[in-house]
Amino acid sequence: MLKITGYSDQISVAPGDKIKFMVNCEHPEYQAQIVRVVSGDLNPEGPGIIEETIDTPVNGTYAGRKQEIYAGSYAMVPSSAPLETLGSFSVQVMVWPTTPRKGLQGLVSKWSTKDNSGFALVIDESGGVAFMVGDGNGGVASVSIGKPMVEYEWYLAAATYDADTGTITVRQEPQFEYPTIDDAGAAEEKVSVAPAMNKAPVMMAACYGGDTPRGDAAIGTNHFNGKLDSPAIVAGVLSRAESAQILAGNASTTLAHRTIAAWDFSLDIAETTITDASSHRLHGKIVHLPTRGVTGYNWTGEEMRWKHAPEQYGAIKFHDDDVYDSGWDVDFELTIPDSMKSGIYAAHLLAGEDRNDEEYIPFVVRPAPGKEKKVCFLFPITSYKAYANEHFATDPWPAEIMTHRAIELDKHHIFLNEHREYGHSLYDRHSDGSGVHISSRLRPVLNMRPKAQTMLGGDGSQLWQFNADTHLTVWLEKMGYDFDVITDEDVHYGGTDVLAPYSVVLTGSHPEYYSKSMFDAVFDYTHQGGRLMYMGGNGFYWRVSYHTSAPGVIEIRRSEGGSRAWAPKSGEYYTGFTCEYSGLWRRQGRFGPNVMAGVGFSAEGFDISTYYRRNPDSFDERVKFMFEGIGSEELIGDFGLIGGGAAGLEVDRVERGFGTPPHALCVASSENHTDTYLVVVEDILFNLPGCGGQENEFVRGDLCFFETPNGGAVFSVSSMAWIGSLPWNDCDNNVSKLTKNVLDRFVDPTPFPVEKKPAPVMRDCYSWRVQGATSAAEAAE
Amino acid sequence: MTTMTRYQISDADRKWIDHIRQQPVGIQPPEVIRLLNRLRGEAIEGKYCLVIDRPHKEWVVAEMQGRGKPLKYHNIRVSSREEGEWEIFKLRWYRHTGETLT
Repeated sequence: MLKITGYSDQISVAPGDKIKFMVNCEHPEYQAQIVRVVSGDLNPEGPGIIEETIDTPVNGTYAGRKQEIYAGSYAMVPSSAPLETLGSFSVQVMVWPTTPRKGLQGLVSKWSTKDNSGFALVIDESGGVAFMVGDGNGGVASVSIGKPMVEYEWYLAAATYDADTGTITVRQEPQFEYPTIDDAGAAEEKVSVAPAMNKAPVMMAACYGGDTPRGDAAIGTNHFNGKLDSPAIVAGVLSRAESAQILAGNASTTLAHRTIAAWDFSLDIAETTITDASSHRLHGKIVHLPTRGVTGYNWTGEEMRWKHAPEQYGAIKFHDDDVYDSGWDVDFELTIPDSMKSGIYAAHLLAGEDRNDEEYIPFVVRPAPGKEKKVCFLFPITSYKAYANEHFATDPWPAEIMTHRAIELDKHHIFLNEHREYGHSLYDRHSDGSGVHISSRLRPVLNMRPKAQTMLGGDGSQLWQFNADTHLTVWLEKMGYDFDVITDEDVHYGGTDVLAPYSVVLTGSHPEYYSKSMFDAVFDYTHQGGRLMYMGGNGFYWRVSYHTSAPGVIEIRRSEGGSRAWAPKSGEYYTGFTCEYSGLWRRQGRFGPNVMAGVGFSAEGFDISTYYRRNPDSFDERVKFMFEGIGSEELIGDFGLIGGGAAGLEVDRVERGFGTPPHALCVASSENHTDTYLVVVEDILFNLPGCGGQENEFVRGDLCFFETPNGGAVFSVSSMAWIGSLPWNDCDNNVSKLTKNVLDRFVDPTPFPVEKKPAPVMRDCYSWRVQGATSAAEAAE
Repeated sequence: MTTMTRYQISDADRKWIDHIRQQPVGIQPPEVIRLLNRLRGEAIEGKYCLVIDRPHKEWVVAEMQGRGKPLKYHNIRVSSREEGEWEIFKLRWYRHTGETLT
């Protein structure tokens, strides 16, 4: 099991910037050194591990210390005088539980688990609503409904405490009645324990277990899974009618004056704050980014976008395994020296006996402004985040059916399965079974490491995302290219100006997740004279949102369709971060992978890869440069480290119907994929037999080229496995040759000859074919 | 145990055993895909897997026990993926048919 893990506060830094490293080490000490990462593939048939140690002031030995991640989201409000002098009071909240029977779960609490003091509206072990009071001296009383709630249903949970009589009342009111389900109830009981008015914060979706070591958040306990809406604390004992008035927001003036706090989660959905609408203004914050912009108890189904009806989106969905910022203390900080050239680096940590235990914390050094080179590798941190700490192999997921190979577990898989506090990827599900919408890099991302293998990565090297992309960086290095590395997060924040200095931008093998800002920047770059080499498969696929104030975190709603690990609930297709319609880029007007790169996701499979065969377009004069030194009958890429071929894992095709430019050339296509490769679900209107690689013509990757305005161009390889063939045979192979031909031509500023011609007759396309036609004319008939 | 498919293995599938031993991965006849879907579509609890012990050199056969639960290791070490596929196939064949393959 891993005993050393870490993360950094930044992913991209320039000379002069500072980067902090946070380390959890269960060994007495560890050694740190900064390395430049060139290749991370352990496959003996590949280039091997190549890294260069960089002499920096932070290289050295550090004392180990254990640092914990306190996972689980909640909302918290600091304690204050009105909350510490309550006397008689009432607490209520609308609740939509997803795991009511998992044990004690805090709903709205001012309860300290350190001395069992205060009060807490909870779901107790019965699965129903209960109210607890504790005097801090060992006295605890609880009144429970004792009837389990139904998962995924709304309830009013309410309690009152009468300080004069010591009477507690509790109500559990389902908002939807099922005739044979007994889930409504009310209870009343006199207790001998009075709630101590402690200094604990008000916690929603958890109870208070002390402060985190960094002191900026609480250690949550008794985390709740589900939605909360309209929590309120009111002085005095509310009648049922008064409770309803508070919930409806139409309290009388007298009742309003008694309101200590009425938090309206709909007021700051895109923020990390919560707002108290009462005159006390007891505002608070959310911790670990629970999901916002989700339907509330009063959602009518008439509005799908939360900005249009925020009052129906006043809920927050909490999970006991949400993680945003691990919150660890800093172990060391590096100021990037001017001598560090742009590239991929890592803090390499070694610990334990014989220094056998190790960890890498990767980061990117981008060039100082004005010192950019001609070639840029666009480090797809957004997509790495989407896959951060994925649990494909160990969670209930048809992994082995997708790969049709035995599942292999690397050490990080085993660790992550048992350490859910390290959080999940956008492919995983929370402990309550719901899809993970939010993923952050402010935690150890254990699959974004050199040496890491992943089952999806195909037979052979088994690499995916970060480590797979080192096949490209090692090739660039071995071929003698001088290149910069910048992240797509830099592009998100900096726009197209970040790309403008470069003659050529190369993507990674799977730049799947793009924000609007990123998409616009890369697209505009290609239309302003930039040249894009899309070096992967299934790129530019999902639209994600970056949070506007919390750094390093993305959100997705996998709306409507697409090859997806989960589906969002109705009414929840717009991200909470920005209220963008999330989902496939190809559903977003004149956007989508085919518009950007000429190709779009067409099929996937994860066993073995195959090769490309040249198409007639490859003999067009416009792409003569591409095939210099490659025979007309030569198979391209019938070798490689990822599945044994250049075409594999996820592959894309030219498709005019989805936006491929009409002048694009489809110069080669893959063939003979296994039946593990299947047409993507978004291209299937009716299920039909024959969707596998041995039969279906959509199961292919297309090499594509087209010119763009102002001297730009795009070349797309349409396969995640392509770059896995680059280093094959020490880079002496036809994939390497073809890629070099393109890169050299793309670096050359000579404009591409452009001859204006009449619009061509369209080739058959998907939208016609599904009508049974192969031409526009036939389709029109 | 829930599985991905409803296909029931029968004596008619015995003829594919040698084929699968020789070629566990790659282009397969439809009958083999159907059989492997059944075997490889096991629920996560009890699912056989290979744990990487020495990367690209040595693996250990293990059984998953579910979300968050530790692996159960078998005393089977293999030095290639093909060998690992065969060991797992044998275990699954026994689980589904009661027959021990050698």
